[in-house]
Amino acid sequence: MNLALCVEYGRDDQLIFAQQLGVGHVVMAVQRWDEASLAYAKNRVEQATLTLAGLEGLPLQDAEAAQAALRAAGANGIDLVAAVRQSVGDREPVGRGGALVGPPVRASGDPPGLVRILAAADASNVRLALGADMAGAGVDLDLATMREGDIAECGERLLIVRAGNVTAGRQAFLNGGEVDLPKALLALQRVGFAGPLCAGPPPGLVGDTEWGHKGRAYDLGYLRAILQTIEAL
Amino acid sequence: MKIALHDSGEEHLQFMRQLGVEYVVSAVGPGKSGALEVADLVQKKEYYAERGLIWDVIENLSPEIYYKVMLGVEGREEQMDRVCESIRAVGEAGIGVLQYQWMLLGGLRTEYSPTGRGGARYPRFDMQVAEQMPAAALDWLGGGVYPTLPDRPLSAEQVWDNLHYFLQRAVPAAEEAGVKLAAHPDDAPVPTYMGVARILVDWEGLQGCIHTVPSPNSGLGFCMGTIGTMADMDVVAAIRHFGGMERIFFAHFRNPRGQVPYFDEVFPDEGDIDMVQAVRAFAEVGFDGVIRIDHCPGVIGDNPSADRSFAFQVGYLQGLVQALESVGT
Repeated sequence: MNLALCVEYGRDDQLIFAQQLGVGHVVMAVQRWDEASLAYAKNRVEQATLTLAGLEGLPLQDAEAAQAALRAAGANGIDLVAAVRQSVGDREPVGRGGALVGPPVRASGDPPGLVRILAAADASNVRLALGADMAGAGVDLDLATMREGDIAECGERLLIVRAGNVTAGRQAFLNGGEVDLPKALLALQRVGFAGPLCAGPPPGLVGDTEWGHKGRAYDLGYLRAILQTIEAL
Repeated sequence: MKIALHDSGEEHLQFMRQLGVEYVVSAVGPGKSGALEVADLVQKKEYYAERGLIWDVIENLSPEIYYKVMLGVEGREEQMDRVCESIRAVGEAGIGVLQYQWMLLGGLRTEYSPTGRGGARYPRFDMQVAEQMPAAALDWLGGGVYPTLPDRPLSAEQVWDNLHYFLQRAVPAAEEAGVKLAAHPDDAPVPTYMGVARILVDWEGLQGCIHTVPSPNSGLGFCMGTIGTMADMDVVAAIRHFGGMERIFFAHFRNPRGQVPYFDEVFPDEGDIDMVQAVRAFAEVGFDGVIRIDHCPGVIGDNPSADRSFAFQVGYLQGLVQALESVGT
């Protein structure tokens, strides 16, 4: 698996940040899905000597737009796309040390026109990563909210994995929740998961940016250490 | 293993708690008596406790209190009195570890170089540059030179004699006060610079420091970065050896690349030390002291207290500890 950073479109500083923290892959959130915008996105990532592991933010609830977006991704040779991920509640300062946390982020619900969207993905040579319960698609798995056995059951369907944690129904820091992330990452290695392992969005730290530079740095350090430990076993 | 950060201000203390850091490392200067004073220490300890943090390591004993002892000059007896008073105050305040250093020229670097991963800035030491341009080494961040530079050459024998004199009086005071004295090695670990010997620069130096006045209260501030840059040093073996002797009282978590005469301070996941094995070694020797995340590379857009870079390192160390506990056996 490849440690990846989720970055925003047009933010070269976030690409530099990824490089500095030793991340070779990024998953980029995009809002404009036309071919030219995606070509620009891909170029910026490559110029930063990084690999564009995939895009996220596919407007899944609009089947026509989703199909067009998938075609644009395919035309640019971008072969992995994930949907919009939504927060279902406000963040409050009730996390560790008063950090801002909310309910775990969730993948979009079952969209209308899924069959057509899947067909467009297939025709465009794009792998579509959605919730584990959406038949026919690859899986975008959130470790914070996964069910026991999800990793083994999804197996080769796993396309993107989100490293998160949760405690009492709320987002938690990666090292401070109910999920044993070292065990989860070891399980991913054992099923041969070779896709991007992304963290975030992180809890809100004091003095941090909206995007969460400090929180993301913390997450990347934590995940890097676990991956290095697993490799050393 | 108790993970700690330096105190960099009020907001930083909350940041530490959010990262799950429970220990803080800090120092106080001497009071009117010229020594550390109990009231100052207790006040600061309570200040941290009110913010949910534990202060159990003083880093460092201010050289202002004992520089004449380091240099072996007139006035050292009076300064040793202040040192012993300071140790007693530390014990009375309930602080367990007092780190000191024996670097007569202070810490040495020659560059803060934007040549690291993704253009990150790496603190660098290059002996060739240091020899040609002493100012570059003594004032590498532009903040001025070390305040108590020696005014004459000092041999290794003289520097050892001065350390011995210090420990002969400081160690019994520490035993009586229940305080552990932790010696930070010479950083950068070059054996001599500008005619002044640096003695805690290799395995024998570390061993010698412990054996000079043997005591369960005299040990090391085990700076992984400094020890990792000692010539031909195996840091994991050193953790096993000195940790096995229960002489590591405090540690710094840092991973360098290279050893003297040339090294960079890099991110902890890309240096020469096998950090997985290092943390495993700390666990296996039963190290239960404070380990402070040490200085780190400069990251784009970071603030003066380098929160982004430190957050990466805290996460990294927590990840190693948790992974070894969860899946490491």
